[in-house]
Amino acid sequence: MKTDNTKRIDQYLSGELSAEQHQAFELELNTNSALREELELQSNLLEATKRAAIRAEVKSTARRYFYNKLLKWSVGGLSVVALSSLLLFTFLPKNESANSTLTVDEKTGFNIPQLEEKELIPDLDREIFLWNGEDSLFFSKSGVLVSVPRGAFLKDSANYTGEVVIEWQEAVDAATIMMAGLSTMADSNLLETQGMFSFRATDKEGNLLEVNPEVGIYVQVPVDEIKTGMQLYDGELNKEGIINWVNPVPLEKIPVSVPMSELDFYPKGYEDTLNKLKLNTSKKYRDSLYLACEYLDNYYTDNKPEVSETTPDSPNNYTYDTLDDSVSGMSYDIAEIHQYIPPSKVLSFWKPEFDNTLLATREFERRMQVLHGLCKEELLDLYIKNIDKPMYYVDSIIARKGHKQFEVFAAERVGGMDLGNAHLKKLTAFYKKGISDLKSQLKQWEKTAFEQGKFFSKELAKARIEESIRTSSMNETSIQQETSFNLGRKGNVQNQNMAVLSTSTIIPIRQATRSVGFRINNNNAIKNVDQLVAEATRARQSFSGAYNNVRIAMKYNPISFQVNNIDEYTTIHAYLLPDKLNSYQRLNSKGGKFDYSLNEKISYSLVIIGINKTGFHYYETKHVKAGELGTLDLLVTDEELVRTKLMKLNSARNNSSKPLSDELNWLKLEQMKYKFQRLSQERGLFLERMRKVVFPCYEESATPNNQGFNEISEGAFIFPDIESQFQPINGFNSLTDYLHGNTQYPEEAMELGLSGKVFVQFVVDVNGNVKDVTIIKGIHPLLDNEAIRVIESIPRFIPARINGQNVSSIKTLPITFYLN
Amino acid sequence: MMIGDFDRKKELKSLYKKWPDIRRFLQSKGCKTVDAEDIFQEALVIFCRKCEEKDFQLSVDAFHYVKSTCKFLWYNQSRKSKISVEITENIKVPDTSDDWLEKEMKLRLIERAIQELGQKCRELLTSFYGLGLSMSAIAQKLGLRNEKVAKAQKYRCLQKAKENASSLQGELVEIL
Repeated sequence: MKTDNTKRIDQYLSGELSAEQHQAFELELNTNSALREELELQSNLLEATKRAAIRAEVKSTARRYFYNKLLKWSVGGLSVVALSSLLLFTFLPKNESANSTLTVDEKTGFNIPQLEEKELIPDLDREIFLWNGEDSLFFSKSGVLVSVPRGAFLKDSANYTGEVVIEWQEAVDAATIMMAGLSTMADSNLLETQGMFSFRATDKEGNLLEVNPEVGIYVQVPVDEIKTGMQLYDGELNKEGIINWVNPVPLEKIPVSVPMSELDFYPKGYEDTLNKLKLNTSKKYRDSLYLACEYLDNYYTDNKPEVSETTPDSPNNYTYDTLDDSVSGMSYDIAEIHQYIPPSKVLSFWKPEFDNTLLATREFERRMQVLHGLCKEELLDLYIKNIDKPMYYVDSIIARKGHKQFEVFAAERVGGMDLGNAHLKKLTAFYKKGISDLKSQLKQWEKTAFEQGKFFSKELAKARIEESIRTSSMNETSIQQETSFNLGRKGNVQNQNMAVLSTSTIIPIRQATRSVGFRINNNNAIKNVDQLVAEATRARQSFSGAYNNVRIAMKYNPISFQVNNIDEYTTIHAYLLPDKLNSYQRLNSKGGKFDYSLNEKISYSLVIIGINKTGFHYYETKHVKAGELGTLDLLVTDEELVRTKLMKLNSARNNSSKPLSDELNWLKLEQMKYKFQRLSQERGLFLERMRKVVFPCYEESATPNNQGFNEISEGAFIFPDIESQFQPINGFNSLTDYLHGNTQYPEEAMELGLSGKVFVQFVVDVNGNVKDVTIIKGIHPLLDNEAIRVIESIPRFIPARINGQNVSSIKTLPITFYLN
Repeated sequence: MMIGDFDRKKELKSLYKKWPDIRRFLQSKGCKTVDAEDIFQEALVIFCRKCEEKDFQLSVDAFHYVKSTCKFLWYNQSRKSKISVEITENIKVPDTSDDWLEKEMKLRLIERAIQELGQKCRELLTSFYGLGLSMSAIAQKLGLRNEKVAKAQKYRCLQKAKENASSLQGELVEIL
């Protein structure tokens, strides 16, 4: 190949040849294949050269592309490095230039606030908190709590609301303090330190802010132990960079509000004791039981009017005191005798109304525990009186009185809680009213219990007289009837009975054994057959003979039986109901045994009624046979059932048989009285024991008390709930008005001159309706019926509540009828 | 450098930004990254040459053209290297006949003849033919005395390239 050809081809391709040369070249191409090939090659070479040029450009583009990418990465990496050094710088500013500036990275919005060039405490790391103006808490690394409330900062004496940068430095442990080379010198005195910290607040431009002295910032430093006399010092940095600690102020701890419902102001051990007894856990119940402990002395023994067991010989001696009179003149002031914290006081402030006061704090809860132990009511009064002052103020007063525990409390320097004056006045009034309300509540309970006891005593005394009259008359009636029966005057038992009674005047005489003796005032000294038969009948001896063509043959067979576990019954009676007579015979046990003689011609039903603390027990058998019956078992039942069973037996034996209802009423009253007495006694014992728990300084009263809790029956634990008593819809005053306005004195009763108090018992059911109205102590049916009518006419009551649930309750009201 | 409306430099820069897309595309077809970059650059060269043709009108957008070319080149390369590649997409690439491909391969081979020249010759030829610089500018750039010397040198370089290409053509016949 020749360079000439290459030149020619090149010139041909780039159009540099003249027209003639061009034509000659093309002619040569037609004949010269080699030249043709060479042209093709050179043409391709030209193209390839162009491509090579482009390729070079592509490669350079590629390099630039990768270089750009790399450049981006490295720039990013650089900024990260720069950023971290900046952070380092913010924490260790002294290693860098003093010209630290606010740096804002526009892309990320990352904002590093400007900081003072020097820390307050040199050579100590600082923590930065950003505060946004709301109530906030910050925890430092070592657990110091910094609470910054709203409005805590001032800028140029005006409230500052913008973002605040808080710098925090701390040295709470000895090692950090030593490492930072911190001084613990106050002038020339060495301090024992529980930690050092610095606090500085600036706005985002780095202007120093003041702490609003009215709001303050609360710093809680964890310490191993509270040492008396711990104080807060201001640090002064001198030229050598050494801190001198000056201006000591006592530390003040701000108590934390806890809702009253979460606090426990009961005396120590009170709830434990109740829990051990598995007693009702409701606060209401426990409050009322606690309140019930308030009166230490059984002041009724000193002040109450004696309730005399009136003798039956003088039934007119009954004095039914009015309810008001019965309580008047009693002294409730017994605090002088015993030192104790009255429950009424504790319960009066232990209410949600006292939330957010010094009393609603764990700090006061702990003090209350100690106060209960000291039993000094006046110390509790100090706290309540000074509710607006710092707690350590009262703590130190009590400490000065010589109560060691309060020195520790005072050292805690628990501060106060600000209460508006108006709020304080309201609270004080509320507290005083609370105490008086509770005291009157307590008086009401005591009064009710006392009235109840007195009432039972009177009622029972009355019932016992009635019983003795009834028994003697019944015994006499029985003998008369049976005599008539033995004389064969079967068809006219009733009339004969009346005739016999009319000829003899029987005067019952109550004897010690309550058996009845009698004498017959009869002018006819000669004993007739009637008299003989009567004497035999009374003696329950067999007798036979014939007089005036009348043959008399009567035979008596002894019967005896025992009752299983007879000692368990407080009252036990056996009744023999004869089918031929309308009377009945009551048998009393003698040494645990019942003996009698049955008339062979009469069929008897035997009924045994036993009463003990668990209620009524019953035994019955029809057509009882004479002889030794052995030991009989009584079954537990209730009064209602006994009543129905007796009614059934009675109606079966005789049309005009004498009902046992009076007898049963008396038995019921006996049982109620017994139950009440027992409960009162047990409740007294229980309260005595509880008082020893709740009033630790309480000295055991003269009441012998060797009974354990477990020997006290469940009923003793029942205390009226503070809020449980039912109420008339418009209060008790309106009830009195209602009764005054609606009771009508029956005209007949006025004419007869009947007056007095009718005691009406009634049930207020869960819906507040009145039902089961009964007369507990009546005067005369005229007045009794009017009393029942007026009580039944009461529209509605607010039902009693226990643990938030409506319950039915029993109430006794006296209705007074008096004539001028 | 502008040839017609085509601004090669700008176009290359914007197309190269799509390199990651092309790489992923070729990798999904079983192509290695190193090969992919060669194919991509080849496709860019072809695209640029195509754009500089007088009558060429781009019927699709540049990226699409480059992508199709890449696919076609990769298909061809893998076929030669017996890598089975399934081409499911049916993208119409202008002038992608076997003739075109054969010519492309031929040009690629001849380009190697340029690459095998000495650096001065290569720079002289690519500057003159590829970049269209004047001979005086080239003389100045390469430190040659004058335009005439440069021109004489150009012919010598062309002659050398032709010789390189002639010897390389035997290899091409074998490949095809």
